[in-house]
Amino acid sequence: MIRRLTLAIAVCATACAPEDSPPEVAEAAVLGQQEQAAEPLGTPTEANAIRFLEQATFGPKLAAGASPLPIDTVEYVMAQGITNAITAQISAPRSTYSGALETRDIGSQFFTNAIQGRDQLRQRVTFALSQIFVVSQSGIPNLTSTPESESKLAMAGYLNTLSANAFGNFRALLEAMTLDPAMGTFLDMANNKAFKTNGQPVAPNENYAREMLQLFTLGLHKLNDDGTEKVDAQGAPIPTYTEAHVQAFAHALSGWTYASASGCPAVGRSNTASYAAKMMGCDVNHDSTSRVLLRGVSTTAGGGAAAHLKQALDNVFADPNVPPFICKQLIQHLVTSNPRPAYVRRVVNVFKDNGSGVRGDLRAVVRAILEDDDARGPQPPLAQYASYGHLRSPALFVTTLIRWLNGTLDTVGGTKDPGQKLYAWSSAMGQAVPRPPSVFSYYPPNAPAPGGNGLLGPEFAILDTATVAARANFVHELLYSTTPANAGVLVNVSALPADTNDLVVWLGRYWLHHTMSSELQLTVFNAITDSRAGDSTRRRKLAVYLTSLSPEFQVQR
Amino acid sequence: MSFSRRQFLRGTSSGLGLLAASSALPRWLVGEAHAATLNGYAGYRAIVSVFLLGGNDANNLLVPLGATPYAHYRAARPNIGIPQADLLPISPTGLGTNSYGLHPALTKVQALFGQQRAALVCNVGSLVVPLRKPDYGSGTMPLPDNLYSHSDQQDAWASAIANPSTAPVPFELVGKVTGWGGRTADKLQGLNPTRPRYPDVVSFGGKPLFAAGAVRQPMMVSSSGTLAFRQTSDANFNTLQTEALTQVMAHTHGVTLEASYGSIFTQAQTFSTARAAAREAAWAALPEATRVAIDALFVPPAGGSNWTLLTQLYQVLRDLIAGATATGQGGLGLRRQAFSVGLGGFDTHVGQVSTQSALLTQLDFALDAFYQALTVLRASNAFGATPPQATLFTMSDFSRTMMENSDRGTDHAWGGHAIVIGERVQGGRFYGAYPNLDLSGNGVNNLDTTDARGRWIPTLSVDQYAYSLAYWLGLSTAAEREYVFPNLAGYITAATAGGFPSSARNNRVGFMLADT
Repeated sequence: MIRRLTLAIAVCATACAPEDSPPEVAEAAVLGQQEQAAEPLGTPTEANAIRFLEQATFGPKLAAGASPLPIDTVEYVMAQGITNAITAQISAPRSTYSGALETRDIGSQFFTNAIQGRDQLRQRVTFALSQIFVVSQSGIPNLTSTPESESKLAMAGYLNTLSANAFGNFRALLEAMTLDPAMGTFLDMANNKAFKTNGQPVAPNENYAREMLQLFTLGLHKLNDDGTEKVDAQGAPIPTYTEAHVQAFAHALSGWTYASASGCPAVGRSNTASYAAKMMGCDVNHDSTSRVLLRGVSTTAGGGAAAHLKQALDNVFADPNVPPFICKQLIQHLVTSNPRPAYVRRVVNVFKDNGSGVRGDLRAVVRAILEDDDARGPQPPLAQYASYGHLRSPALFVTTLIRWLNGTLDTVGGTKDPGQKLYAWSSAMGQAVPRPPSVFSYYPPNAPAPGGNGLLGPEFAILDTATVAARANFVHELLYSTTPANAGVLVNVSALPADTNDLVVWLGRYWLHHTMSSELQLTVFNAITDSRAGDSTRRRKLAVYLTSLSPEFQVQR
Repeated sequence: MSFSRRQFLRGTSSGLGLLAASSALPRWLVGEAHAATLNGYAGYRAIVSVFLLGGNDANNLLVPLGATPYAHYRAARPNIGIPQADLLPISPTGLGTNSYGLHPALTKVQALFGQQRAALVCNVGSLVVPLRKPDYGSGTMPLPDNLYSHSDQQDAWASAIANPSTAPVPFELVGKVTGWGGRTADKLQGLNPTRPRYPDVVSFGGKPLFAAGAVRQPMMVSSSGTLAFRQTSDANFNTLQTEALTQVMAHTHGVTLEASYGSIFTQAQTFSTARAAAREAAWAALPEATRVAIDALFVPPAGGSNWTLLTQLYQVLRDLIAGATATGQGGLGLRRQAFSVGLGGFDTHVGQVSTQSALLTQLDFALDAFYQALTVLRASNAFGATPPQATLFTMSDFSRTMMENSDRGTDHAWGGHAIVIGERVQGGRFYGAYPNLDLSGNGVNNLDTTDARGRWIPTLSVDQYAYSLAYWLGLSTAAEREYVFPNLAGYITAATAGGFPSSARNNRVGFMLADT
């Protein structure tokens, strides 16, 4: 059927006007109407399965004859259904990072795992969480006095801790991040002392306390359960915390330092940085006085570092802002930049209670995000036609293209470093994983889409003329240069259909999950049938270049 | 017409109704009106923002040499304070011979200050209204959003809107996140030729927000200066691919985010070729001796081979020459442009002395190279009686605490000192008031600090500083000013009502020479 459609377009290419743009009409027609339900989770169509893999992996793949079907392939998801596919993903063996001196750079390892790892969903969620609980490798100094690379050790440990907790409980994740030594270095939680060496009290560093509240748990403004902002009688947003809260948390979290075989340092002293184990609490440097946390809850007077840390994190975790603040961002990373409030609320309800009375169950939250009607179906909900989707982030654009082209990374013998090549491409587009420029990560969740009349487009914060040209140059280099292959990045363009019609149909069917617009089909078809296009290899490359850079592919919907 | 951003945010949070309304705004409301004039100069003018990312410690940039204030300085900085003999003495007009000293790395800035081509703007920072010490923390006066936070304060400098959560902004800015460079371009674009509608703001680094307008979108270029699309060796194929790609970008069929992406891509595609061609043609049109002299200025000294700021400013210069060169000679024939460059690493919480010294050495060399290159261009006579003019100016997140910390570094603070350089700068002077450095008794009697560690309450606002530059570029009417600097009118009103010094009551700071 699709093939016939394309042929019809090709035939009328010179004689017919393109179809009228349907969106306003379509949107107007469905406003206020009951929407069609998304498909049953057990029997997704091919388009629905592909959309699921775009949300849950680093890019859909086709099985290409593999048996048994790999769990990250379109065929597997269609055969097993969405629910089982998520279960299989959650059970997949965890990809890990190594900080050993002889291993590749963490950025290279990240992209290698993203292309090859079986635990696609865990990695995808870990990547999202790494953009909330931010640590940048650029912020971890190497000690020149030691042979190992501290920044690499630290980042490997941090990412391993993050991925181990990705399907766990948010409270455990919060504690693991708070005591992670990489985080300790990055935001000064390590060696944050309440006393000078002479025993006099000193104001502890507020860095971690502030960012934990602002970026990891609460955000700046109070939210409703549907992710919208609460406002006061004057219409102003309501702050979630005050400077006094920041100071109270800084005191409650004081006294932690790097793990050491020799134990805690003397009062006012520090342990040297070490990244093999989580940080340890030292009462000698902890302020044991009672402090007033959120919602009027106080820490216990005379409490030690460990007891106060537990009270502080329990206090944050119980705050009503945590579920909407975290859930909306996870939806933005996985599915769409502008989720409907009702979608956020449904996920928030699962965060608050997973059905067994447990708050903060991330496994249930991720499942709720991906199984929701607003994420499923062969295409976005019609009522959200204009506003749906998110710009593929640079890392996801790179990995998705490589995986669609059945790409492999040649790491045999250790002479090539293909992961580094993928890292370099992503970096040129503004996303050097895991080296975000600051604790605000690569882009903020509330960045507006340019010309979007207020719609959010977080990834657009790093899209400009320079990085958009880098997107095109990445595809061009991948297709037309020998450099990627020399670096061990191998893609197979010749496996694409040779026939021009079949080629356009294939790209529309898979890469755009049956939603390729007739305009794009026509443009690509006309280009690859132009005499200047050249032989069949160049026609395939041209079709890939145009389709992958098209707005409808760049915005994952 | 004003519209509170917070009302807008409330609107979006409850649905898309307001968005639909704003997309139906009449065309005339969306920033197409032009009252800007060439304002005194018929030739080409540019302003160049040099953003010192991370928060430059201005307290070590500029130090008083008088015995008493210097003693206060050393009392607060026993470890990281610069020895008096190492400071480079300057004699600002009216403040006495050798009364202040510049950081030892700033030898070239010292020379330009002596030649009255460099000015120092003292204790400038983000403000909504002028503040006195009791106002800070009283809860009754509006403060900048999230003081001491890097990202928020970088945004405050780049946008000249210190309180984005509550500022009343012109209706055409509602729902948009813009910087003062971009908004200035919104109003000045009429001074540049309409064909091609080349981007008025070009950014090689710094804070991208500075360059974003509500109507005009900037050209963002990597710090290497290159903005180009890879091509194959087959010219016919390249033409086919480029043409098809252009068509592809128009296929956004009513999806908002697709249109956002398509417009940025089209901007890059449309202007990258024009830019590259104009840069080559305009450069080639210069006398060879001029090109050689300019290139020589940008050869870094030993140890400077990886200096990024020098590279960025060289690329600005090449773009400036392309912009200023007439279309008949292959240039772009522009009249007004703004540029943005940046240098990172100023967040010196630990071990400040060597880090800041290295950064300021780079800054000093790069600023001077750019200034001298403009001098070479003037002398070349390639532009006749109206050679290009440019003003360099610094911005930074904030200054840093006067009191050093236990790691031989300094922490986030507020008001700091900025450098302005150019042939049209009324230099050799200080603008604004240098703060009192006395932190004895925990600074309680020092009206310039918020606290015991020496965080200066700014006495000039970013808006005044920025408007002084935008005005020189051509912004003139009150309506334009209120569009680009929506807080400024309220700031002046509050300064007048509150009896603040005259410097707080003027829209502009007088560091630019008047046009005759």
